[in-house]
Amino acid sequence: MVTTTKKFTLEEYLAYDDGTDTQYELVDGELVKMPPEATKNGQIAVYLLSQFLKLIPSYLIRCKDIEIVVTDHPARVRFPDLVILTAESFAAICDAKRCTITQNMPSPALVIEVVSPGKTNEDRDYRYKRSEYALRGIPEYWIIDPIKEQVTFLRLVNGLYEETVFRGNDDIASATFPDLKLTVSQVLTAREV
Amino acid sequence: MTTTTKKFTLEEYLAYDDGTDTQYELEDGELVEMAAEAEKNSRISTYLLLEFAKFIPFYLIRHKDTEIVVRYNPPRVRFPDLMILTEELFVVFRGSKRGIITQDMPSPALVIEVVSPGKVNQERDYQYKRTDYATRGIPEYWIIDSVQEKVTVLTLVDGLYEEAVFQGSNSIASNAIHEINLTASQVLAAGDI
Repeated sequence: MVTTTKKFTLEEYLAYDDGTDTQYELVDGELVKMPPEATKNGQIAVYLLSQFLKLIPSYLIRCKDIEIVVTDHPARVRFPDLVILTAESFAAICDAKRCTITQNMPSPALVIEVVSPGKTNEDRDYRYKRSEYALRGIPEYWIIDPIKEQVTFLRLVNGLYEETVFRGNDDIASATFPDLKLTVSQVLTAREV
Repeated sequence: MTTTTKKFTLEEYLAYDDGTDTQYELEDGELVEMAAEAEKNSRISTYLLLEFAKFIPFYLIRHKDTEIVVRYNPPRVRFPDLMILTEELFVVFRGSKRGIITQDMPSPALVIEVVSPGKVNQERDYQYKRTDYATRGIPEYWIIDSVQEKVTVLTLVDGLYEEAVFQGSNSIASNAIHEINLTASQVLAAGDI
């Protein structure tokens, strides 16, 4: 993780281009480079994408190309692995020049993070983002963890996430997507069993 | 609880005066009238205020007169029952024209809510504010509950609160205020006189 010292406003960040393809998150005005993604984590994200395609139109599914503004002042912007939009949030973003769900747009239906190894990455997904996505009002947040071999399912209840942890052959029970039939093993091996 | 339909910006809220002494919180731009305080709860918060005053300089203690901006846009402003400021925050805050800790100021060391009866008030203190104060970076949050007869101490660890519940003759353990030596019963008994 590389952290620069300059503090960005949200406007400066949205206009920022360092001429590389590096992806950043913005944490209280500071650029934080996204960790390199393990091949397996990429496979898991694409596998999940393929499963959601069976249920919902492709334009509601975003894989690693959409940011969410959590707070704008100080600016905090997150870059989830997978985002499932609602029709309402799609309508708000479909003509935007940059793929950013800004602070005044409706929340997506679901965000998913596939955890990268290491305490910093684990803390980010399990702790910081858990508070942040709750504040942002996102109804469901899944944390896919290939190392601990578990899926943490968080459901927003009165502004706070309630947690259920699934392992092995447990079916992931989503309130938002009840027709999604997926076991934890399927997700972690990223293939149909 | 009365909710108005007009959406306020933070600036509009700060300029707002309806000519009454009604206290409000601001939830994503909407004014929410604060619940009337049970007399019992007033005694509990006053008792805590006096206990804290034994260890903490008076100018760091705020009792029902200081607001805190959780998020700038859409604006969310909370009005805790008790707050303990840090010296660092006090330096920035002193001389402010209005008793409001804005989004760019450092966090207080501790906030305390004494829960008012009723589901809506409980949800606000246990669920919504738990997310709000965590994302605001407040290291410790106490929830005093005279109905359920317990004190919940939430400690911020890497962006998410860890919970400890104290009842009866359990001494309340605080990282924010090491000197405090109080049992849950002592605090709650202030409401039983």
